Amino acid sequence: MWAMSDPTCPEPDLPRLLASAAGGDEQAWRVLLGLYSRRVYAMAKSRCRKDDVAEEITQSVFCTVAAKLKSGDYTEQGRFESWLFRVTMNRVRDEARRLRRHAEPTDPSNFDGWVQSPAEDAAEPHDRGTLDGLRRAMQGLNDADREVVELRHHGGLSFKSIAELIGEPLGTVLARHHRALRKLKEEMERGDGAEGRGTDSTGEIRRTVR
Amino acid sequence: MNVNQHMIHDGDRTPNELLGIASALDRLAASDRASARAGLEDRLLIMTRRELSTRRDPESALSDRALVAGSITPTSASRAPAARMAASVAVLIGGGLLAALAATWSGGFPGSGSSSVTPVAARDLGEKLDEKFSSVVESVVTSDPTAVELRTRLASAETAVSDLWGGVDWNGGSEERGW
Repeated sequence: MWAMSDPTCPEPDLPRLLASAAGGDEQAWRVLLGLYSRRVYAMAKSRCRKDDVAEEITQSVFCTVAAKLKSGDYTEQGRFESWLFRVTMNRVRDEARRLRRHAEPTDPSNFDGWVQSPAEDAAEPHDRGTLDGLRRAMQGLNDADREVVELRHHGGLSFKSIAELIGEPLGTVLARHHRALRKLKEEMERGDGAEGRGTDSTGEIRRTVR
Repeated sequence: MNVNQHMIHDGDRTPNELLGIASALDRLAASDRASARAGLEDRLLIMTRRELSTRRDPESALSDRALVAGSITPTSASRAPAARMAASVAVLIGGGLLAALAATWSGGFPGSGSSSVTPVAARDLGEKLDEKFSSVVESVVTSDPTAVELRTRLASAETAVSDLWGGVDWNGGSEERGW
């Protein structure tokens, strides 16, 4: 019997878990979904912004996982996370391309009018402003840098897994992440004048509540 | 403690002045993870269970997915005929395209610059078509469209398929597909 997983704990015996899941063990699936579903969802949500689209992508990803496990097309060699998020990234890219093709002009007065999540609604007002600013800043990153940031923070992947996933050396991934964070920080600081945000000496983002 | 903290030391050399941004990104990610509709894992569990069970006919698979999405309930069964019709039309279009693909298998695709279509490219296109039509059919099922909307969506699906058709690497398949 699999224990219900705490996502902050190291993974259980993944090869055994995947083998059980492939055989239709429901508890194994619960553990797998507990470990990964919200991380996959967050990756999709970060890029697509819509809850229903993010859930559809998540469903599609896990259907693929189930089909591949069942058919034996996937063999666990310690790279499940990389594979799972590669599938996710491909789905997200497909959706992002589709959105770009069907993009409609946005009324400037509604610019950045994404729907806030309940978690953001519940956030402290100053933090909500920070997160909004951060979302805007992320749109300014190029796709490659943004993917590294999203895989790291939304997907919760280790840098090693990200390196495997995108086929780049670890050093390159670290450098890309570092560069992206610096860009985001600069972008957030540029917004200071208008919105009263800033960073203190340790880089902690703050916002003046007016 | 959030999901990201267990791997914060995995080679990360984020300098102090960027720790604030890194922490804000973690909070943003936590917010996105928390924003999923309640019961996400349960819905996924139903889907994966069905995926693992014996492969069923497309129509029942379609209604399963709609049920999981919460869009069809026993009281809204009147939507089913429209959904079935949409599914049939989509399958016909998809089938026609796949037949065209089979016809070009040995002779090459006009304008592709290649003398033959590789199995990888064919499989790639097949997967994309499958994905595209699944999403079209699902969107039709979930919104219960009028006949006019239905025609518009099918026209848009045809355009999307044309885009796919032009985007396939006929010599090797999509470079972005990792499996």
